[in-house]
Amino acid sequence: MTIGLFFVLLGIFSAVVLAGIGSAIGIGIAAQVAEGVMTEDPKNFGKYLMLVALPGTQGIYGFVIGFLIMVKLGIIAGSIPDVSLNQGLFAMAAALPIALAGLFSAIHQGKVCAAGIEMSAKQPNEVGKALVMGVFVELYAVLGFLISFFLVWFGINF
Amino acid sequence: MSVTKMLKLSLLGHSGIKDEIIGEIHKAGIVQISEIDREEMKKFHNSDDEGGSIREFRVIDEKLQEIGKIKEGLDFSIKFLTKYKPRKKLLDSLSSDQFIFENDSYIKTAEGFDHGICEQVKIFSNRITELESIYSNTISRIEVLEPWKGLQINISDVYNASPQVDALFAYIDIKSFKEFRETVDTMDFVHLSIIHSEEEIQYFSILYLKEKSDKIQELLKRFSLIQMDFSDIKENIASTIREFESKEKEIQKELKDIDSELKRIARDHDTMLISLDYWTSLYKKEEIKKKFLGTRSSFLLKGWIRKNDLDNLNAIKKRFKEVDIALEPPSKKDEPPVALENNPFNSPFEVVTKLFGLPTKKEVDPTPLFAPFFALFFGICLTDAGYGLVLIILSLFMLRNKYLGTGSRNLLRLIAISGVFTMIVGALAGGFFGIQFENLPASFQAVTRFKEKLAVLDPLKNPLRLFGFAIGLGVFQIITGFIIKFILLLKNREFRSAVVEALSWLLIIHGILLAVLLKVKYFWGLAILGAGIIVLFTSKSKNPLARIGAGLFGLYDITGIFGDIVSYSRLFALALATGVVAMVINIIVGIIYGMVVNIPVIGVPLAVIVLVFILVFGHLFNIGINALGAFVHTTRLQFVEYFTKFYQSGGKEFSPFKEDLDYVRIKKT
Repeated sequence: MTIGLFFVLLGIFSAVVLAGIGSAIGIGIAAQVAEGVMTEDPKNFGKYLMLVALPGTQGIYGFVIGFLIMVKLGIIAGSIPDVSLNQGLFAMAAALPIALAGLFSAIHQGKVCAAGIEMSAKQPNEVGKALVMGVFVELYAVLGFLISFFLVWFGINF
Repeated sequence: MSVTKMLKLSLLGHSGIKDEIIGEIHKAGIVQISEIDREEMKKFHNSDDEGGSIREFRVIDEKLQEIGKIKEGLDFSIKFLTKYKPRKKLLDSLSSDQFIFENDSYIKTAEGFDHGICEQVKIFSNRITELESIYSNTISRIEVLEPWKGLQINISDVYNASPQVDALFAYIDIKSFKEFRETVDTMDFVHLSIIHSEEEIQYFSILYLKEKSDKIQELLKRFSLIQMDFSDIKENIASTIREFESKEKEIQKELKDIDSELKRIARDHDTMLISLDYWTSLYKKEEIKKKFLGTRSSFLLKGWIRKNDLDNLNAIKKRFKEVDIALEPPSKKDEPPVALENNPFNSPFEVVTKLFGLPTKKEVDPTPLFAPFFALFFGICLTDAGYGLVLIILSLFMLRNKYLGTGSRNLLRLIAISGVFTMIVGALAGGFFGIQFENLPASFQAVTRFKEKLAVLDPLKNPLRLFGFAIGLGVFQIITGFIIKFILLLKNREFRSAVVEALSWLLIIHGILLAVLLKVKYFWGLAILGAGIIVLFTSKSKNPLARIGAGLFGLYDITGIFGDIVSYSRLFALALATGVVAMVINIIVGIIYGMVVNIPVIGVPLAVIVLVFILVFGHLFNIGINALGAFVHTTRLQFVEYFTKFYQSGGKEFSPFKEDLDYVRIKKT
């Protein structure tokens, strides 16, 4: 394995794992609050489920970027080309926007959603507003994802 | 536009038919009853009748209290018996309790239910708490006595052995015991005997001369002995323990009896839910009378009614002789409640409008203005024709349930309509369950070629095109927002605002767009004109410095508009995420299928099962998570990027007095 390939894999790792960690923490925060709220009122499970699922998208964005790097690399087609150090570093740097934006936005989105769950426990009809608040945080993961995507799609040629 | 016309209703009737009228209005559910002004009430009453109305209020309150008590009992029993009721299957327990009745037949069930049983449940519940506390008390007594079991003699004998001698039972930490024993051995007026030893603790008794009791007190203090109090024990310890143990068994038996009795009662749990609905409905019918104005022989009801419900009202009126109705349009002072009315395509989107808030009387209903955008944006977020098809089929299937509330019904319709758009956008983006058409066998070439011709927006073939499409739609929606603002301001005769706050921005956006896209630099003039309007006319101040300062600050809003446009890039991101995950699911299935199919004998059938399983659940998961994302993100684009241009909301929803049952669903025959 060339050192370049190593950095490509590191890029895939950071996109998938860092954004994934963010989503896991975000969902974790929201889910704990949902369970707490449900001890009093188990009826609104469906509503809380939406708020709990919201921080899950960052992990998906990271996964998509990781997958697209794999497509570009040719692993999906079954062959691995030689990758120079420069190419490898580029691929890794291209993965970083979604990796970091995903990591932090998912955690904060989880907190917003947790507060939203508490709010909708008292105001069951206002769950839509809580969802919209959560989506405000998501925009920055979306922007990171888009930059990563364009870097990977147009910038990487092995 | 599509806010329903409301009329102010006053209904005057004879007291004798009050209950019947309430019943009819309640059943029809067409009138929102408003509180009557107390001042007006004074004008209406002469002093004699006022006393009558106070008496009336007292009667209502008494009745409310009576019904409230029954409701409370039922509520308590329902909550308390949940853990005793027969278990449902997991799938059933996820859906809420619903009972279907024809017409009013549920009333019979509810009235047939003896709510006296709730008293019984309350008594049982109190008894359980009592027994549990006695039980834990008993258990702890047994634990305390356990080490002293070896003490065979009667405790009372020990205490009363001799007038000169007293006894003491205590325990001590094993580490201090040796020193304690040595000390005691030097005292000839004390006799120590060990009752029981454990790893850490020594249990013992001492007999001592009463006259030396102060020495014993010193001893107790010095070694911090913990003294036992056995004064309430008549016989020996072992028999006392046995007594407690039989008491423990008794309690357990009683608890078990209560448990099975409660389980028997809990079989009526469903009937209790139905009864609760019935009594709640009665409560509301009684409570509403407080809003009426009344004399001894007549009553006056005021409220709001939709213009299109007048026929229903007249039908009710015809059935009664002693009723008169007056209708008038809302005056300028009134804030009539808001009900929306839209065509079948737009009406499901009222769900989203309600999420944001209803229009005030100065505003228009935004539903038809955003509905097409909503459905289209939702479609772009999913961009898979197959997923659109699944959404349509699923929502139509769920709509077959006739007992859904209007809210869920509209939501499902909204998903079905958005599903159609998803299919269209999916076809244009070349998404069909994430299938990679170029990898299909040669016999499918015709399909592949057809798809290729259709898929002009494929995000993986030409990402910039779909990205541009999303941003372009965003620009279009923002322009639409400003145009609506412009028209509304013109309508309200606020010409200055129309030019400064709406037209100026339209000039700027169009100027920049045309200049950049057509590469004609004269169009920059339009943008500069727009900017000029904002800088010069935002503030009305006479001081030129303050005026231009405020104007420049107003121009700063351009960053907000730029942010709004960038925000639409989320449509592309969501489209991409859905498509790629769908593709990944297929690739994973392919790999697993390849591995499993080579297992001898069972390989092929097993591979097919695995294939179907992963495909179905994988794609359903992807649809679920992305449909949620699509809904939420699309909603946000309407609320934050679009509504901010022309819509504030703040109207109160029209909520007619009507049958609003939690558990009973009525099938009309």
